[in-house]
Amino acid sequence: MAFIAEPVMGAGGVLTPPTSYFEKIQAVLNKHDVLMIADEVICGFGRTGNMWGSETYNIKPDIITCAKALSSGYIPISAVLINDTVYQLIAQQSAGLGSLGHGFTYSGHPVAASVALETLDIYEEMGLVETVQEISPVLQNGIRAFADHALVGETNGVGMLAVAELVSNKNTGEAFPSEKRVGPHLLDRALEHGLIVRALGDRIAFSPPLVISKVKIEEMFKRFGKALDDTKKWLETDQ
Amino acid sequence: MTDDNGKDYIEGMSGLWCTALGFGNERLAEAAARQIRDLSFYHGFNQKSHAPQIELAERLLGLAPVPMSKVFFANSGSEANDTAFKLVWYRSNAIGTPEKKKIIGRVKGYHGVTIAAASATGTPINHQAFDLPIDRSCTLTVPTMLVAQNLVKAKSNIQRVWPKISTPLLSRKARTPLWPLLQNPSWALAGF
Ligand SMILES: Cc1ncc(COP(=O)(O)O)c(C=O)c1O
Repeated sequence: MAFIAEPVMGAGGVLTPPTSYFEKIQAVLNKHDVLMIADEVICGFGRTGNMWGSETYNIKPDIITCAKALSSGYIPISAVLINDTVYQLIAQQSAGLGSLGHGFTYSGHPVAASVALETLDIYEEMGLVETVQEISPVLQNGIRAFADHALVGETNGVGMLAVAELVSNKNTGEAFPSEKRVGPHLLDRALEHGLIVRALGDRIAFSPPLVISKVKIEEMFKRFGKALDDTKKWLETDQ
Repeated sequence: MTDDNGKDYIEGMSGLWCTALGFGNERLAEAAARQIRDLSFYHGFNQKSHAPQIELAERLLGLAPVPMSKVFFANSGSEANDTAFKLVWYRSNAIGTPEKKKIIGRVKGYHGVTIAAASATGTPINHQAFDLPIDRSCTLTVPTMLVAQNLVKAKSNIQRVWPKISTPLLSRKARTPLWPLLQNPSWALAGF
């Protein structure tokens, strides 16, 4: 039995866990011998301000999965890391059966592995974690500056992940009816202003390259602000 | 990013949370070219391996946030998660608890679209009309972190809130191995 969680939920809407969330979960997992799998596919490699999301949220995983930034997305490769307790049991079982019947033709493909190694070299040389810790306040302060905007409810984020939620009533936090497609409308306005972001429902997500400059982040939010204002105008005239 | 009309964009999402180093990094292009010339393909079956794979595994073990022992490579997040789940099942059989095979995901969690990864994913659109989730997985959680946050803040509320959260979970056919977990109020505290 295992429990799997992203340290920060990505596609679900950039949802950060409350402090002590994972510690409390893991106490129960340990008690019942349920393994903890950290899905670090998004959070791994600096995204949350530490090398791993598990470090940011004090997760002690038995198994880690990672992908995406392992090769900076340049070539498909992912990895599963398992601890020795898990490994020993698997080794025992497969010794009994003769071999472990699991593997892909392209597992650890040399070209993908080389690109991943070069990616890790670059991370090391640039000081990935320090870079993120230095630049991420610009992203976090930038997104929170939209908290005053009439269309924006929650603003949140960690490291180089940020989100602004679009709401129909700022005071109650009431959402727009999904058939109104406010998120997608905003994406189109953002495109007009030269910005590519993602709408997870009406939660607008930002996850820029970790090497983005302060000036680029500021420009990114300037464009987002214009898209927000256009969307507000559209809502006003549409009603 | 530039589109086919020459219009310039800021890519605020690194593609799909991917391009940590931005686009067009020369060193990565070179690394691929070099490796294609040097050893274009090799596999890891029949006790075979090769330097880049071994070196990468060692690098990852060195970076891991907790002591880790072995690395398995795949090609996507979904495959990595499916692999993790298969290893969990394999381990259950090794320790003689074949009935304890549930993979517990969370509502709104996303782990990919292969059969097991999609099952652990907590969004209906990844299940509907695919006949998912498989019965070896289930998703738990209250839908918003805000609820969890309030719970953590107001520990005294647990007794009051727990029955509200647990009822729908428990009524969803008590799946035996999960029973002790669901009964534990600290799941509620944790947002379950
Ligand atoms: C947290 C997480 N896990 C797993 C996956 C699945 O990865 P892939 O699309 O490479 O199969 C994703 C993809 O977005 C993800 O965000």
